[in-house]
Amino acid sequence: MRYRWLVPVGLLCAAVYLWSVASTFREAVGRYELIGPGFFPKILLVAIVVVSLLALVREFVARRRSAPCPEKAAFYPGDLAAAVAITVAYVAGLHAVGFVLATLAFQVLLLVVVFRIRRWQIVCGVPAILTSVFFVIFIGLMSVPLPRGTGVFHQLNSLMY
Amino acid sequence: MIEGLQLALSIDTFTFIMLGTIMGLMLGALPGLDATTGVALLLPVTYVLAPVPALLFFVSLYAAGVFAGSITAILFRTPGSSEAIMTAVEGHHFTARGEAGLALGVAVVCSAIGGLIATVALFTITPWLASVALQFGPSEYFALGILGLSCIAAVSAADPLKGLSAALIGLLLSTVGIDQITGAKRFDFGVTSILGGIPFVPAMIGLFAASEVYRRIAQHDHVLVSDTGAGVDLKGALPALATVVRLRWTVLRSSILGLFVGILPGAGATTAAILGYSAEVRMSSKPEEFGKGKIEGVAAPESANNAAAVGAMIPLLSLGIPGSGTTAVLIGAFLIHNLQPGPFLFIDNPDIVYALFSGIAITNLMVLLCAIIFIRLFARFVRLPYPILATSILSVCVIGSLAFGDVNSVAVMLAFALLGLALEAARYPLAPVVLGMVLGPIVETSLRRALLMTDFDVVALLSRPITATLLIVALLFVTAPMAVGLWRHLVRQSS
Amino acid sequence: MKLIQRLARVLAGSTALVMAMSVFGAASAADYPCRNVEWIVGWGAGGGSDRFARSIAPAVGDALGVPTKVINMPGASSIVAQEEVLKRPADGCTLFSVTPDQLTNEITGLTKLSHTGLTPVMRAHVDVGMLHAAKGGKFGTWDAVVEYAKKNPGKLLVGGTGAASFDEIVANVLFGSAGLKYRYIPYESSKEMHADLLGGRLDVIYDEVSVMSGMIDAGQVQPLVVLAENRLGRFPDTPSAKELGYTVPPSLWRGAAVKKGTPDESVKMLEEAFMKAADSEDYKKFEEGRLLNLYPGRLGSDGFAKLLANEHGMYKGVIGSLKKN
Repeated sequence: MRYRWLVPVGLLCAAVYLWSVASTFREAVGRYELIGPGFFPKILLVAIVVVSLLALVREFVARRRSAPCPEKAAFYPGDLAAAVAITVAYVAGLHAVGFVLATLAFQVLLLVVVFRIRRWQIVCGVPAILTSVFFVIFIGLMSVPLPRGTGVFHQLNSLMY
Repeated sequence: MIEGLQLALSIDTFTFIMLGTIMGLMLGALPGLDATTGVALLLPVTYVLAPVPALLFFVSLYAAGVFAGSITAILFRTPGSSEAIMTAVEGHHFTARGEAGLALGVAVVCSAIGGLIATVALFTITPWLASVALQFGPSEYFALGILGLSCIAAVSAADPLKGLSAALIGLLLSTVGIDQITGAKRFDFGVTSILGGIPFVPAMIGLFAASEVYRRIAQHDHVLVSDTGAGVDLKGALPALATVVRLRWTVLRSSILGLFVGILPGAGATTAAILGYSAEVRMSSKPEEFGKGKIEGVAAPESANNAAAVGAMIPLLSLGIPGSGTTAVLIGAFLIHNLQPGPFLFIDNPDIVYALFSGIAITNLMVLLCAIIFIRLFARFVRLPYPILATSILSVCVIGSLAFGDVNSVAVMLAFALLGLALEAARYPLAPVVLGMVLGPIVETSLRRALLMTDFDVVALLSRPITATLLIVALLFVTAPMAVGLWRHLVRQSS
Repeated sequence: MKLIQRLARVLAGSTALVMAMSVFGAASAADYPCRNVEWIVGWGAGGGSDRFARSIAPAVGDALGVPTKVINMPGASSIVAQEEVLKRPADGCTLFSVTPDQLTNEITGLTKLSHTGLTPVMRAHVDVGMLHAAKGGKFGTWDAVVEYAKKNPGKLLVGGTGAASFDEIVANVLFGSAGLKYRYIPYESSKEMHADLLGGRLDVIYDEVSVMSGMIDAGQVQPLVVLAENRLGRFPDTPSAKELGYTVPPSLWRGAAVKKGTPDESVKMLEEAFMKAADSEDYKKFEEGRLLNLYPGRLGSDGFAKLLANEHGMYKGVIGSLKKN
């Protein structure tokens, strides 16, 4: 990893930002000022800053000693981005078209785009089976309130569950 | 007592224990469905049953549910219930090595032993344990939390600095949501779903299950089980038994620890699993081997969480105060049959109490039996091609998160998946994040509540006997390895 | 391309199936304009609100003529559930559980949603609150508490669930009107609070009768004051707040509401159905078992709306004063 300083630097920036957020906490009830809502988070933020600085110093020292670079594993950023994007789209789709259609689409896309599966039996069969199994368990047996989507889709889904 | 045993051994009671075990295994294995919900949903159904079968049905459902989460945790790194979280940390390495059978076998046997040890305690020392539970106030909880956190350095022996960073991230995440003491909103950024705190199960399945799927996608690593073994089969069962015999002290230690955590109303089986794991790492002579698939790391949390699940019955039965969320729901099952859990139960209905105790013992054996069949069922999934498996796992992650609220909890799951991916890529351990998230509220709220109650009298707070003892042990946990290191260094120099 | 065609075919097929189902559904529906009613409870399965909903829902469904299903959507003091209810159409097909938390959430700024976005249907019962001490502990009677609090101002530790919550409002009203200085200790769940009371770390706690009756009967806990106008027949020796000359604090209640904008006819039908259901054997048995019938609490839609408006004003005053502490 060439970017070993990335996590500590990220933590440092986050800590500074979150400190400003923690200073704005408004308590609904006044109790002791000293142990207010920001008391514990601020202790943690200071600790994060200290630990991150230590980590950075260590990286700096290690680099001067030119630490051996560990072997690089295969990495396909495109597939990862596609998989994450499909999941994000799934979440948005749940809002829009409801559980059943969104889940079917998500599974088909994952198989076709990310795993490059072309056999239609799998691309159609697996999502159909999986979605109906989830439907039966989560909605049928446990009546979990899965989203129904909006507009036309809401009405359509309301007919099913 | 004999009468109670007869009650528990009757055929219909047995049938309901069996039914409860099977249902618990199903509910527990899937994230998003848990035993608590199962118990609550099925409560009305038990109006018609006699009290003992009805209660044992729920107890077996609960006990089986606590175990079942570890099947999916080991096979797919998808903890089916929050209690199985440490098993996901350690157990999935076995599947990757082709030794899933061993890990599953050890998990089942240790769960049963943990449950049985706690049942023995139930029979013999319930009144004493109940009085111990009452000794635990805010300052004791605070000390217990500190004791857990003192193991962070051990849990991340490979790189303590990274472990500490990961733990701090977890602790900070635990402060998200409404502050328990002042009612202030903290780090919620306007998202309602995290106002009550970050939903734990979505966060955990994101951090472990979804991140693992994404990692495999990113690296085109589409082989779940490596070729070193024959995948999952129950040839692992015999070696598992031998392994458990070898680990007898680990199992005993963790069970007793789990039992004590379980009887506390303010800590549950999840906390027990985490403390059991951390304590085991701390006691081990080779802490650096944990987190890479060391069998002690499966045995300890599994013994602890089942012991805690049974232990949670103790304050319920003897004080009327539930020791966990599920036992709180169990009160309903008692009330339906006009039984009031509490000290009078032992005097008025001793037969029911002892029937319950015997039933709990049977339940633990039943879990052992049914789990073996269940594991076979799940083992088939491991042989599925990875694309299909990955699609299933990711769908379960999303749907399981949905079951814990709304679409925003899926966003939480996704955020944790990316966090897990980033941390693992940078070689940060994930176990300390979990440790921080679970122990954070215990440490923070208890400390602040203790200070409120004693009016900032820190001396009075720290001089309580249990608090002081726990804190001293924590201090030893941190300093002892350093002292030992220094001693060895000095010895080496002098020779 | 082939894939999309196939997908389209599957979609078309399933749509047709759903349509067919809807025809049957419409044919069997009664005069209530929903195929089924969903009751969203903002708390987990097994809690007080959940048990209430599950005990009355079947009877409501019978009275309406359409199945009524209880759904749990826990999170953020039931704000997640409230948001879901408000996202759905105002057609009377979705019910929402209401407790004083809706008011406190709004007043403390946890949510921007107001109780005025809901149309109340019915308040079902009142869960009377009491102050309790541990039996055999420091205080056997309320007088002993008063004496101690007067001698040691600000030292009396009073436990309750939540911060700036209903429990804290109750404590503030009662101790304020009694002129006693105390320290409120907030808890996330009542089980830890009960352990702290029995363990002698808390002096007094506030909790409802339905939760505490078992511990009182078992002789672990001593009730000190009933926070109501009159004594309760079940605990005749415990004085009421009113007879001691204090302001009577608000009581915890549970009820149901729908989204505002629901047609009046639907609200009316729901109200009738709930009233009928509240008289059903099963529900009465539930109230009896949990001591929820000790005090008259049933209110119709209009009465419940007035109560919400009143209590909103009152809570707001109390929480405003808590901030300055």
